[in-house]
Amino acid sequence: MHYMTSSRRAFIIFNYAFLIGLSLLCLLPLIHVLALSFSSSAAATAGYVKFWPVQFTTNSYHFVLKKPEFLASVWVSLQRVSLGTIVNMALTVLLAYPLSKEVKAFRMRTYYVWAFFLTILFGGGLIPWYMVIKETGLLDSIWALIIPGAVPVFNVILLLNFFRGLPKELEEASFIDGAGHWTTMWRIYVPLSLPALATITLFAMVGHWNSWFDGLILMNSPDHYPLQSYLQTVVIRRDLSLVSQSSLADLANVSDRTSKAAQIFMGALPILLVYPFLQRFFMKGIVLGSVKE
Amino acid sequence: MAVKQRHLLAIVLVLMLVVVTACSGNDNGGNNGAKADNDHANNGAAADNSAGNDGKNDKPADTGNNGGNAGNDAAAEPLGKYDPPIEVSTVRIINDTYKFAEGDTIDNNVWYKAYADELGIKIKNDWVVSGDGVGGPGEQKMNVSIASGDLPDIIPVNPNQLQQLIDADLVMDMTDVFEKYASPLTKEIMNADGGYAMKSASSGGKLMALPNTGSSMDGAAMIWLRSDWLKKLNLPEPKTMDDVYAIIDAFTNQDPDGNNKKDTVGIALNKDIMGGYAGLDGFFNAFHAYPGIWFKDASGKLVNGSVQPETKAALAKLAELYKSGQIDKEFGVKDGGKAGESQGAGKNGFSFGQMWNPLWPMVSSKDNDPNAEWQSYPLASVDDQPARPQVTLAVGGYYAVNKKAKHPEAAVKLMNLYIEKSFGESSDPNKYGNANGLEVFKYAIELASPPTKNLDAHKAVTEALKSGDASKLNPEQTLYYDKISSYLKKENGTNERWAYDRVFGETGSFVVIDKYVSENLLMNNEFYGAPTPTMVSKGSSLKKMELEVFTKIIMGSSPIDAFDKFVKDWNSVGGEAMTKEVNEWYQAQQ
Repeated sequence: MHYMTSSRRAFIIFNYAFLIGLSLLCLLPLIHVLALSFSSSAAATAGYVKFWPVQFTTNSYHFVLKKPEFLASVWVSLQRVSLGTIVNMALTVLLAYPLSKEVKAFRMRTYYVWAFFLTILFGGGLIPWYMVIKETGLLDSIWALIIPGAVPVFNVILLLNFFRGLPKELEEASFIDGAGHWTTMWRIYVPLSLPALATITLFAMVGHWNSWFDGLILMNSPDHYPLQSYLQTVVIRRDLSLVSQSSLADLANVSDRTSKAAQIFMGALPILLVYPFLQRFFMKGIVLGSVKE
Repeated sequence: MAVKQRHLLAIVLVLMLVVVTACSGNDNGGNNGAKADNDHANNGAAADNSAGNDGKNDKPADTGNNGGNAGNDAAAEPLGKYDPPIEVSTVRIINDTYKFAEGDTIDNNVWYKAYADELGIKIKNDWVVSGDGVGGPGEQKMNVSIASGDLPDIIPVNPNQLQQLIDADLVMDMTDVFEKYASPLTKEIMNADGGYAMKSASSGGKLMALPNTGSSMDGAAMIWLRSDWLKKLNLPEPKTMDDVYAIIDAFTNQDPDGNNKKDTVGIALNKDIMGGYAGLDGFFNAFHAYPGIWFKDASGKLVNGSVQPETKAALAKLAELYKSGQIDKEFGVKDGGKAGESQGAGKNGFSFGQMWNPLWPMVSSKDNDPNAEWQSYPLASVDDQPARPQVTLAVGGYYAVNKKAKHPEAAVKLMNLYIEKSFGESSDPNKYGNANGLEVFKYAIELASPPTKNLDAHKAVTEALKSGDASKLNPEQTLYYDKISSYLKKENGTNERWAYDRVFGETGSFVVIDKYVSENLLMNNEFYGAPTPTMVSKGSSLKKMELEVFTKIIMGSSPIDAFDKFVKDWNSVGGEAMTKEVNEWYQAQQ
């Protein structure tokens, strides 16, 4: 394209400006938090810190790294992400494969798909959810964070559509060569779907890393909180109207913006590092999954 | 099959019989009261009488005499020990300021050991959650527990949750149990505020929970200002509202920070307008307006302060101040922390606040500018009547007892022990209050404190500073004393010591509170019951409407007469029904 019409040029300029503005909107808060975490507490409380640290110090990081609760929750989160992602992926593949078959091959297919799809639209609500988990004895164990969300139906549907997009001939060839369904799934479908699998692996990981509410409700002691649940308890604003009740010394912690910032940043860091490696699959995966032959 | 089932039935029946006889055999001693309280209320009262002298006369003398009795009788005393020990379950809502010594946890610490050793009560935490903010993790987890019926013996709740538990008939009537088992000191402290806290924990005249009593006077509003600026600009101390206006005007327009720029904020203000750091409670009170609380009007009925004409007058003046640039222009988007930034940066020197403001956030202005000096003053008034700061019930929470609990009296005894160890004659605050810089008192399951705790600390510390004799101070007071004297001796250290001097020191904020109390100026919120039905359904939207209208009036986007429309709307949306309910409640209290 050697020549550009002026309207095309205007569009491109506008487009870039818009996209850059949008990404700044996402980036600047992160930079602000990073700057806060490296600033002195006095400067932070006075609102001097914008996008560059004021009175540079690494005190808050020293403080956070010495905090046993923080490190313990990081460990719980790592466990959760690795276990949870494995369980999610295994079940997603195992479910998506049969559901991707034609009605001819799998008579009840449509009903099953609807049954699973309904769980996206309707939930039992908080209390029944809690009671089921309590009565099954999962409360306060790492499995409470993994088993209730073991089948991510949205991911199943993505993968299902991706499977259906693969040429039928491959499956037929595989059957003719004497392979059964297991072999066909593991040796044909899974290797062909790597982009889609990478995408939903990322979904599963990010989902597990970011969720905090189930940790708060299902864990019976703060030692078992995953990182994001722990951060939630740290970051939430304390109610100051009844300050005489708790000790006055607590007030010193209220201005602890810098260590809060350090913890938020450290909480976001691992997932920030994962993104660039998996992101190249991201777009490709979803687009391919949605297009059918 | 049928034969088999019949056999099973027989075995079960026999087993039940054995269990029942065995258990009732144990109940002969002092457990009578406890058992009776599990039954209907009538029987409970009868059993109290039959229990004889243990029951009704719980004077200290009796405690001594009965000490030699057999094990089970001791359990009937306010601080008697269960033998064999019993287990009581509870749940804990903590926050990230809880620090533990090596080996201690929230499940096993100095308080839990004291419960086991001295009362024979083994505590089991069903769950522990960190995050005690309003709407925070603790509240959510408790809501789930209530809704799913998964409740421990002792249930720490907020007023809304207590009302839910009462409505669902899940909690025990503690009236008789409290009467019988509470120690005299417990009764004294829990009623020290004139019975407000106890009444707030009651429903239909029955005590449904133990309140964590606190201090309402500690929340009274006062004026905070930069006294170094006052001196620099040669202004008088704020005795009247005209003085106050002059000070605000000068702090806005006469360049108090001396940088030759007009960049200072007259009055700091947060977006909630009332409460928190830099609320305007004090300003409204100066106009004898009391938004948000219920008080008795001339006709003897309770009215809501938000819709009274005095509030309109205060708002009109605020709009005027805002227009002339004397109130933070951006207050509408600033929470307490954000509103505190301008004083931290040395751009604000006046706010209405509470006694604790030096500890947060004003200590940051001292950090950034060692010459910054803050002083508190009592509220000025617009006329010849003294301004009365509004205060509201200070209950940190309620301890309800599960209707299914086997030992409801244990809840009272745990409270007795806390109060005895913290404020009684055998108190040992070095072990149970602040031990080695750790706030171990927070580990206790049930807390309560006398309303004058901090005021007493101020008086004792000031006295000790004058005489130089700190030997009579309790550990908490000693902590304040050490910090303040270190600051006054100009030793090296953090500015936190300065903040404590500003609160508890000789010219600290408690001087102001002492004046309010001794001149009987505190304006109590006369409604302290559980939220009424209309409050539950309409309260939050009325509050939102109020905040919106007040903000618009102050910022000038609505004329002051919008207030009249607000009063009309407020009444029609639910305010009128609420007022009716509140007055019915008030009649019932008389």
